[in-house]
Amino acid sequence: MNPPAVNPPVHNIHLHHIHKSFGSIQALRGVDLTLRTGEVHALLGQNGAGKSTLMKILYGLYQPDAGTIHIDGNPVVIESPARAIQLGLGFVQQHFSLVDSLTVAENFAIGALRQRIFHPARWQARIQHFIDERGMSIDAGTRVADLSVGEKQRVEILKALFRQARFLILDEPTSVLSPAEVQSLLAELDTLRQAGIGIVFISHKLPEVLDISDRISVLRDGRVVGTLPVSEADTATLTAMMLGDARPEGQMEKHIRVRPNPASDSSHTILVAESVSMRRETGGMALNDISFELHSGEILGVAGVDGSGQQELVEAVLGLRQPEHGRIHCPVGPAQIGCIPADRLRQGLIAAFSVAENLLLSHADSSELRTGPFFAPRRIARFAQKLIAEYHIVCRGPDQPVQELSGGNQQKLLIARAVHGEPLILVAVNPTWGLDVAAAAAVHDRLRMLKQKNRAVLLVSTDLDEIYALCDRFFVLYNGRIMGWASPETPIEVVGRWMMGICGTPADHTQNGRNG
Amino acid sequence: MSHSAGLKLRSVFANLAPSVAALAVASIVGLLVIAMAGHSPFEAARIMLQAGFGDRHAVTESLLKAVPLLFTGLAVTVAFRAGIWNIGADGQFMIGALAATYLGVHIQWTSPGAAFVSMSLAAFLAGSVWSGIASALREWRHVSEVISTIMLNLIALQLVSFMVHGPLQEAAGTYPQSDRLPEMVRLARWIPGTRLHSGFFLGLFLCVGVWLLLFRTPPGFRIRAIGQNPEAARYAGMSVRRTAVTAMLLSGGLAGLGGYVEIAGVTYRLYENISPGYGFTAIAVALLGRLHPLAMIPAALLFGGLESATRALQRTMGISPVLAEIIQALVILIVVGFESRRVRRWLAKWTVFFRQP
Repeated sequence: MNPPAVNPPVHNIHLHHIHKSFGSIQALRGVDLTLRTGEVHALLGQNGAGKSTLMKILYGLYQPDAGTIHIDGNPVVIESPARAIQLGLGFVQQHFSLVDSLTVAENFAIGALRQRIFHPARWQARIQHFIDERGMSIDAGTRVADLSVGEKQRVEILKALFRQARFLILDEPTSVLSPAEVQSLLAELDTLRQAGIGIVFISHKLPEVLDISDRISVLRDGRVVGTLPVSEADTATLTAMMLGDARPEGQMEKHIRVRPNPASDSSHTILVAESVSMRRETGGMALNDISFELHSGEILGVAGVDGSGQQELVEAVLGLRQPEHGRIHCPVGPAQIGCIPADRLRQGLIAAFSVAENLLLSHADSSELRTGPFFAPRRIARFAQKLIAEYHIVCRGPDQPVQELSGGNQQKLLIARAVHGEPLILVAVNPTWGLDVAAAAAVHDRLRMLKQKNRAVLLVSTDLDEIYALCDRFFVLYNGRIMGWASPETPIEVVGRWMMGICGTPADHTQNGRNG
Repeated sequence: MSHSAGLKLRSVFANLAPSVAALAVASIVGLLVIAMAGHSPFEAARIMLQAGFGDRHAVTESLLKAVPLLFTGLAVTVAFRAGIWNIGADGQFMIGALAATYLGVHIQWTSPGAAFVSMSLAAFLAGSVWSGIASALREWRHVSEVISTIMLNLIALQLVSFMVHGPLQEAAGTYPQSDRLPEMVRLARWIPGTRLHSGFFLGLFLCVGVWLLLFRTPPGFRIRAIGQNPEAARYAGMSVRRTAVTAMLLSGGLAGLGGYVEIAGVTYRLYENISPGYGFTAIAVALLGRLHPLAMIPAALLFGGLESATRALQRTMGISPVLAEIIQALVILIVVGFESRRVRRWLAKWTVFFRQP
């Protein structure tokens, strides 16, 4: 049983001028980054800033359009993850790459086995020895399915170390962990750092970043805005670097202009969430004691980075899942709640169905589109044609399969379906995802129109500009909790800090909007 | 499978090209097998065409063989459209036949109408119960319907076997089969001099009915939606579980109805081998019809003809009827193979190549 081939020691990795585009979107525009062994290097940035793309390039999952990678001064081409592993890199992604039905030891064997004959008992003993040496308490004979999320993550890290990784990339490792698990992970990372491993730590959460990192790089719009040693970093500087001048003056005035008219007589409470708590499928808490009221004639915003509990909140409001604790009171029937879901091809559309059939999806029981029990194809075609024209959906006609449409047009179709019929409540999750500026503005107008017609809109968005432009009041979700309530007057820096889990906010903002 | 068929019938027939191509390839391979066995493929082809579709008698016999395939094919179509892999049409067919036979021989019927309504209803419900077991296990216990429906096929077979050896055995007590059904409860023969019975027209009628249901009504639309993307259907406010159970009950009911039509129209008795695997051939029929209830009709007729044709081959040339099964299996494999994107691209490339001047 020979150990895997020993890699030459690596001391630094230099990424130089990395460019990467996906279609018309420039994900990375000339990124420079230097990573060293024996230190924890944090990568910060908003959603879509380019962190994950950069790391996928480093790990050989994507190829850069331009730019070079040097390891210890030697240029390398990382054409595949296999090559990356060979070069001493390990990548722990948010979704683990473990086989649930196999044991820990068997998972170690995947891709690491060198000999032709596999001796399970000996292999397991060897893996157990390897784990014990590192002071971890995991039984190599356990099936991965029986491990907790934290333990699975530890197995992923150990697996990378077993393959002689000198650099570990951890993509939002703490987002799936409970607070206690986060503490033990940070302690383990500290041990690894002292053992001379280089660690790239991607996170949205500033407290833990400041706790563990040696250096911090901030990405914004596909560029590195700056790299700071932790001694020079604080939350205010980092937040400012991440957000940039996200809110120009002109827009500020617009927010004030579209401010709510709280004295609207016809406004009434249409949905109440009462200390709602929900579990994640993997175990941890997804939502923790969430309470809010949604009124007719308002756009209520839910801000927060991805995975803060938005998915569960939306499913609870739509009545698709029952909360474990608390209740959602809503006198309105499900037929009167429209939804623009987060993932349009998984939750929103049926790819193989035509444009008309997809529009029909939530209007199938409408009597206007039927004669007796049967659909009226001509009326359905007219209905589809009307929405195609009204929402500027570019397609050959109602019969074209939706999978042939561009992402932006699919999104428009989804919006047309949800907004048509003016539901009493509309739940919109990142409704302008993938739309160009003009189309996005049209969507915003639609949402404002609903509000004027005394409908209630729950806008869940990771885009703060969108929240500021549309909402009368909003709250920030972080780790399944409401970090605070805000209105368009709340300084964006405060909201940005809440999104990263930092309290310590001026007291006058925390209650703002609750009386709205 | 492409389900983009949607509300327009025209596009469905455009989608049938891969099926026709698959059939052609399967026929050629089948004849090659005959040649390899030392027989003349041309003679075999002539005999098969003659026996399958040669004269009026041959045609009506082929239609007759197609009847159970129409019902079980519809059953498979409805379930597969809902994304449920009902492999149990065979068992549902047998249970339907059992229920109908029981009523047919145990009650003194006085009017053919009452017998038709009661026996067909009983067969439908019995088939529904049988598929409903698999459906309940699937929806509430997360049991794979592929496994449960196959298991239920075996149980249905044993149940029929037990009944024809015991409670339902003919009064004479000689063979493991039921008494003959009285004239009163048999399905009428519509064309003199042939065995073709009214069940054939009931089958055609149901094909149109299921087509209307799937493509022209909200419940059928829901069935297709959950089959394509249950998550999107759920977000659009549909009850995925209720729709899945409905589809499965309908599927089993249609197969059960096929069992009634077979005993009341052809065999007039129940016996152990009442189904020579109709529920499995039905999968080939449904797939060849690309899960479209109307496109499935020619597929069922074709397999009915194939059944007659292979019997003729056996009579005249001594070729084993296993050949029919080989061709059926080839059709399934080739239709599925033609679905793959790579094969389609490859086909497209060659068509372009032939178009070049």
